[in-house]
Amino acid sequence: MRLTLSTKIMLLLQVALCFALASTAVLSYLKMERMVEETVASRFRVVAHGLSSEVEGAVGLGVALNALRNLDEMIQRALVRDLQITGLMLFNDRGEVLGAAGGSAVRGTLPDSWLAAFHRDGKTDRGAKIVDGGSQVLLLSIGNAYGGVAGGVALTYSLDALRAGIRGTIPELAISGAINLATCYVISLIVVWLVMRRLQRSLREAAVIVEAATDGGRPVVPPEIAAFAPGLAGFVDRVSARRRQGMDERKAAPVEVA
Amino acid sequence: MTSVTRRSLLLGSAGALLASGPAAAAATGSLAGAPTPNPATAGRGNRPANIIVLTPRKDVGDVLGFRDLLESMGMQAKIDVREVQQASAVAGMLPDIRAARPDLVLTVFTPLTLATVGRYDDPDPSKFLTDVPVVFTSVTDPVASRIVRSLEQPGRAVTGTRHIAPVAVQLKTMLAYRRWKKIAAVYNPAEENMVVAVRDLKEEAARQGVEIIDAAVPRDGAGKPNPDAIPDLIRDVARAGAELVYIGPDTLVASNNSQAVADAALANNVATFCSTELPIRRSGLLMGLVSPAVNVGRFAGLKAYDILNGAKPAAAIPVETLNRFSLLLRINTAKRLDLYPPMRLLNIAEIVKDA
Amino acid sequence: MELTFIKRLNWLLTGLVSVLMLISLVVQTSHFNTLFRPQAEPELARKAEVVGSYIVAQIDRAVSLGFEVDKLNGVDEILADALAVNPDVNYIALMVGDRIAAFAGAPDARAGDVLAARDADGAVAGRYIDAALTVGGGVPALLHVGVPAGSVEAALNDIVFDLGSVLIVAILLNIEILLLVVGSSVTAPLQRVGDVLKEGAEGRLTLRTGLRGRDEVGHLGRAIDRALDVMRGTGGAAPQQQGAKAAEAPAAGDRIVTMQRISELRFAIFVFALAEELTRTFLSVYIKDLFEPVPGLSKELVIGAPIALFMLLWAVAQPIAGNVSERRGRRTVFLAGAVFSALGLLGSGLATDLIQLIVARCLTAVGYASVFIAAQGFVIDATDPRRRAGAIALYAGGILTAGVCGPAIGGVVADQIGFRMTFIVSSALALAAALMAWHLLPRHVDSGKAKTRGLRLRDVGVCLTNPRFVAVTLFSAVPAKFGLTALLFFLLPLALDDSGVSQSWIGRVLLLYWLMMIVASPLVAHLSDRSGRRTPFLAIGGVIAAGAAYVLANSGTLPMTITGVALLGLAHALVNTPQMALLAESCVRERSTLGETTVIGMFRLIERMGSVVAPFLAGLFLAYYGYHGAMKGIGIVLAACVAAQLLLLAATGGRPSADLPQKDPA
Repeated sequence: MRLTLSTKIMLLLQVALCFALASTAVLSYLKMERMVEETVASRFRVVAHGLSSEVEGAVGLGVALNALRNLDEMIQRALVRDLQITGLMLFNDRGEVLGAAGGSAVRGTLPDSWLAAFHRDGKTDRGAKIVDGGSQVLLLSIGNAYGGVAGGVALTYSLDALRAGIRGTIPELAISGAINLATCYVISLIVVWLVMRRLQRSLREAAVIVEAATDGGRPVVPPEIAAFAPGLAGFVDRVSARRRQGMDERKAAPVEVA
Repeated sequence: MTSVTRRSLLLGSAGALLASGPAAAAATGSLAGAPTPNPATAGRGNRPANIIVLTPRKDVGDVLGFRDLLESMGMQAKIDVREVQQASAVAGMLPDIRAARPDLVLTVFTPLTLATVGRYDDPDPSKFLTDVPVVFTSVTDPVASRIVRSLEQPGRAVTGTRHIAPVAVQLKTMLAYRRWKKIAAVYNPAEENMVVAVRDLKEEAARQGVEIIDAAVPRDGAGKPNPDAIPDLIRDVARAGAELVYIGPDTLVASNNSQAVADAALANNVATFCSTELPIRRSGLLMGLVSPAVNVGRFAGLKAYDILNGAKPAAAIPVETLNRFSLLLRINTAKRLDLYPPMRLLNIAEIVKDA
Repeated sequence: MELTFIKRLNWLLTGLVSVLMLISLVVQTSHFNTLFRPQAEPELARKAEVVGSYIVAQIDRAVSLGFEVDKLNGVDEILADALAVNPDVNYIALMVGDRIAAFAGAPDARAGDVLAARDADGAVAGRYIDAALTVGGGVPALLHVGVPAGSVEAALNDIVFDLGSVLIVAILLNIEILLLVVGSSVTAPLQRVGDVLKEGAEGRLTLRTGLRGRDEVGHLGRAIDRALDVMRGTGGAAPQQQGAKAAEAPAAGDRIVTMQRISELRFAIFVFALAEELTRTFLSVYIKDLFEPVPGLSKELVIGAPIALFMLLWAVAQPIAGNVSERRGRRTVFLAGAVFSALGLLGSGLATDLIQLIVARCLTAVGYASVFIAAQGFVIDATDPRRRAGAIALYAGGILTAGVCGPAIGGVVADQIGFRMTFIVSSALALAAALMAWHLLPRHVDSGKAKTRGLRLRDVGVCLTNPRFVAVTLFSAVPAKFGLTALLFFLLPLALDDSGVSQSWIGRVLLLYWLMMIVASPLVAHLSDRSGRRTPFLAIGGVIAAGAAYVLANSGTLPMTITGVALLGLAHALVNTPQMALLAESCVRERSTLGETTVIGMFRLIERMGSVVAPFLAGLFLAYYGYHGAMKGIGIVLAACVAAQLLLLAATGGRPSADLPQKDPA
């Protein structure tokens, strides 16, 4: 393939378009993914808040967290609210799990990474949110009656299952992106051809003129080419003059070799 | 209707106070990964702390909460609980208490506390305990009772917890039920702390644009407040336009005559509010904002923990009240008054049912 | 050759790409909507059910206590409470029988006593997905919870500004690439062809185009070369003349390579500057996150320290790196600097405390100073004085473009992947720039070149005795840098972050400054040159800068902040070029004794002191007066500088003769 100027510029345009489309696509995709994830998280946050305020109410009535008798019942009740919850745990301020339900619930003591996140953000309204393996973990604190933290609620749900749905849109996105790009290619092909036509023609004609002059011809430089390349006419004149002079000399000289 | 969210109602103004207090720091500090459960810090010189508790009854919630907190913090302590029926008996026990060389003494309720530590402006080492840190719990008004000079800086090795919600929080709760215009405060003018409490209530009410009708129980011929006059008093305030009767931590009105208040209020179609727990549970009062004794005891335990740990001297630990209270609501009274509680209150209330 | 055509070509192509991008974006966005709706809406509906279930539980409890559903008190309030904590729910309604008993949320979802009509999709009022839950009790009661039906669309609308930033950046990037490709494969060869043709027409036949490309220009070039070869072969030119010309040929032939290299270098510099600019929006916030108390120093001062140290080291390292690059070669210093910066940025991203961050920032600063001075040195070495200004402008344009693109991309990137990862991306960019330079910059040092002498303390003295130099440098250039660093790099990101503005938005706000610079600077240069006046520009610019600080100080809203930043950009555009011109006109004597480079170098060095002082002073103000007070304080400092500058200029009388043409856009 001949790498003409227009091909070069076409390639360039494609690179720029590709960049813009790809980056906006990635941006929109991430935004969408975050939006769906945040919607799901906010739903589970409602569940976790429900449980934590229920427990908080009991603590406020004077029951120590460790002594809550119907803890398991509360947890079970919250767990069945949503089938996507994979684990629900209630823990004290040292991270020791007091009650747990669900397949991926942690028993014993919570992992350090969870506790670190809990201590950082657990007291905020939105609670702490971290990713552990394929699970999303929400952590909310339960306050005691005198402004401290009695413990917290941890809720996990599967992030993989959630993402599978969103990721399923990627192939379709890629196809539509490709179609988009192809359309742009055609359009830019036409425009670039229209724009570059004159320049390329001028260049090509200039080359032909120079070649003709080199070969001893006496080409005429049309006005539009002369305007395009101001030095060309003089150059061609000199070349053809020199060429003819050379030819004349050769003619005049005795032909020794032949 | 004022907009009261759950948090603002429960935290009240005490929340801000507490947030900077040492107890909050200790409680949150333990969360921040500080080595809380460290038995080695218990007591002095690694022996279990020696604690004496003076209480009218062994099974009060305060003592349970106190014990529970020290245990949950991992503190090793020998807790010696002594029942003292009469405050006057404390003086006789002092030599024995001194001989036991306790690290800390816990006193429950105002009378025992006063009998143990005396007034701050009359510290007589011969009659009161002055060389051992004392933590009190469920004291109504330690400043009015002259147990400490000020709540923020007790000034001597005596500190503790109160069980009455701050007046602003109480008023906020009342107004969350209905936007009352006139509230009658029925109280015993002979009880000094009630005079102070009603004065505070009036100040706060003025800020909220609520009128407080001063309904002091009238005195009889001998100058003693006459509880028999309570029904008439309530009828009068109802005629004067009071929509709610407020009773505070008042021995005469709340502890001894709550049923009379409840009956008279119901007869005159007036709502009732009380700031202590037992009157609401025992008689047909409508509602109250109270501190569960166990939590008050726990909070006192936290202060004791700070003292025993050497984190802060007792004299520098402020006297505080909980920042979360329980709302008690008697449903049958509400129905009889045809005053349906707003859902917000209903959601957080503990429902008291008629026995 | 006809170069205006090439310029038009650049604009045409940029326009084409912009339009295509815009259309593609619209198409893409609508496609996203259809793709993600089935993903997002069921989740939202589920959420509505969960939120509703808690309210139903509350009502059920009340009912179980013996209250009638229709007589419940304050249901509106708990509905409003639930809405407040779940902002993605639009309305909640309790219907008893077929009438609304309690309602909270969007007014258009209700029509009097009933819910608004449902459309064919089952959406209420055409806008909300409705979930209905049964409430217990004797009376038939339903709780309706509505979530937005167009949530995906709304989320996409949210990122319209993000996409807009990307678009601007993409277009600028596109211009960058166009300049690179068109510059090296069209403009430069055409210039070369034009030159050769001219020379040839005048009878000098030694020059060759040397073009090897397979496109039209290459073709023409080869044709011309062949023509020249043939002529030389047949020509009767004297041999000695040929020899002399042959020596000249390669030197002249280098020029095309040089211009090509400079446009490539511009791209490398662009990428490199981008690395730093990416972190611009959040650097001060990042420092604040890592903050640890230092006894005796206020928090704000400590936060200012890394930025100030960065500027100080940059200022100090620049002349040193300049010297080294003259002895060891530009390439070595460029590469070392880029690697330093990459390491510094990587370190900044990995830093766990403030000390580590400061060390990393210092390393970055040294790297930056080295790279920029080496690149500038290369451009100066490689160009003859006649084309130098243009070349420097070309190279400096890359830095400016990076200033626009960096914060905008950086903000978006930081929002997506976090501060630390953005630093690592920056580090990779710096490495990429190093790699480009590796290919680009000549390996050999041109040892034959006369060394420019370094800065000496005495020179500073000479210059500082000239009050006009002092007026321009100390009271116009220093405050400009001071205002830029204090307001834009330090205070504004912190203040905006504090008030909850996202990184993407901070990036967009900062972008505006550079955009103003790019747009207004050439205009100002033109106006200033045509009128021949400099002082009014400096004065007006200084006043506007002070005004900008005042606007920023009093800005409660984003539009006000944007106005402030735009004003600051305009102010600096006003002073930027006239400053250089006035400097040249004011220091005629110094320039002739010390040399132009020295004077400008000194100017640049002193100017940087503004950047060094800025974070400290801003931090000090911030500690005592808060954000608004600090910005106001900076405004006062700026205003005072304008006054001092005007006084000095007025005191030293009329303009000296502007005999030397001045052009230095660097």
